[in-house]
Order: sequence, then C-alpha cells, then structure tokens
Amino acid sequence: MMKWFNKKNNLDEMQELQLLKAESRGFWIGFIGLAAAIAVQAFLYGVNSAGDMFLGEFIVFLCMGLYLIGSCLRNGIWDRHLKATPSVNIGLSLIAATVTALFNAILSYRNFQSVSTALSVFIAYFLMLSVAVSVALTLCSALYRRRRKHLEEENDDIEN
Amino acid sequence: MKNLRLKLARMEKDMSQTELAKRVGVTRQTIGMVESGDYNPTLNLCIQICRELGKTLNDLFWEENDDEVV
Repeated sequence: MMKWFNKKNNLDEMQELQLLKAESRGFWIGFIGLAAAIAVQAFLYGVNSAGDMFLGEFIVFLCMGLYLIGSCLRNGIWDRHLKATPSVNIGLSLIAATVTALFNAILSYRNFQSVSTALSVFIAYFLMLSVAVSVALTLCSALYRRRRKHLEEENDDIEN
Repeated sequence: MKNLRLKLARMEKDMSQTELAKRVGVTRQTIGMVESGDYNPTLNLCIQICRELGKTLNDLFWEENDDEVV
C-alpha cells in the first residue's frame, strides 16, 4: 500500500481555489508558450518543415485547444467578457485572420523577397481564414446556445 | 472588507485562529483570510464557523446595505 499517496483531499476550500488558479495560469502559460514556440520555429525554419520541427508542439497545442473548447461547450460556458453574437464572432475571426495572414505574408516575403507575392499570400490567407474562423465560431456559438438552453431546462426540472 | 464580527466572536470564545481552523477542518491561513476579507468562504464553511462560535449566519456574515430600510 502506498503510504505517501492519500486519496482524501489534503487541501481546504481556499487552498483548492488557489491551486485551481495556479493550474489555470499554468495552462495558459503552456498554451501561449506553445503558440509562441510554433510561431518562432515556423519563422526560423519555414511552415513546410512542420513535420520535422514542430509537429509534436502543434499536436499538443491542438489537443489543449480542443479540450478547452469541448469542456466549455459541455458546461455551457462561452467567455468571461465576450458574448456569443454574430458581430463579436465576425470581429474575432477578422482579428485572427489578419494576424495569421500577416505572419504568413512576412514568411513569404522573407522566402521570396517579393512584395506582390507577400500581398497575394496575405489576401489569400485573410480570405480563407476569416471565412473558416467565422464558420467555426458560428458553429461553436450555436452549439453553446443549444447546450445553455438544455442546461437551463435541466435546472428547471430540478427545481420542480 | 474585514470581518471584525468573526474576529470578535472568536476572541469571545477565547479561541485562536489555529484552534478554530482545526475545529472546522481548514488551515489557519484560511481563517486569517476570511477575517481579513481576502477570501469569501463557501456557505458550508460559514455554517461550520457559526456552529463552532455559537452564532448565526446573520451575526457573522450578514451585511446591511446603507440604503436598506431597517
């Protein structure tokens, strides 16, 4: 029998809250750190070398993101500050598309030294990503609203 | 906001933070943070503290609004 491991929680409610906060900060440091590591490696070695250089980081980053999205949707949670409205979704997708398109345009300019190619890359990425992210956010917000409605109705049943 | 009523009730019982913490099953740090207003305890912990100090939730944790008609 392992005496060093205790199944009972050693922490009280305040310590539990502090641990959850620390774990949450740790998660975000890891998430942003991975995104930064992927961006730096893509910049240094090119996006095409993903298989050799940062596939592992990318898979972990993807899993973290998918887990977070799945957990939030399951619990009917969207965001602390933003609402799941079409205008917010479009705004967010435009920001995401701009940042990613700009990053890829810079990479393209570094590789080919051509402003017109970089501009084409920017426009192509911007159009593709703004549509893709917008569709993904719309889909997620629809799932969120459905789940939220279900949870509210479930709580009504408990009260009755 | 500091919870002076809790501190007073504890002192009336001649109880240290460590002793109260032990009785309600939390750390001394938690009791200290509740008294200093740095932590909002759950209702369960509030009830346990009230029971140990022989007070009601109103006595220790209820706050009247300034604009409330009494």
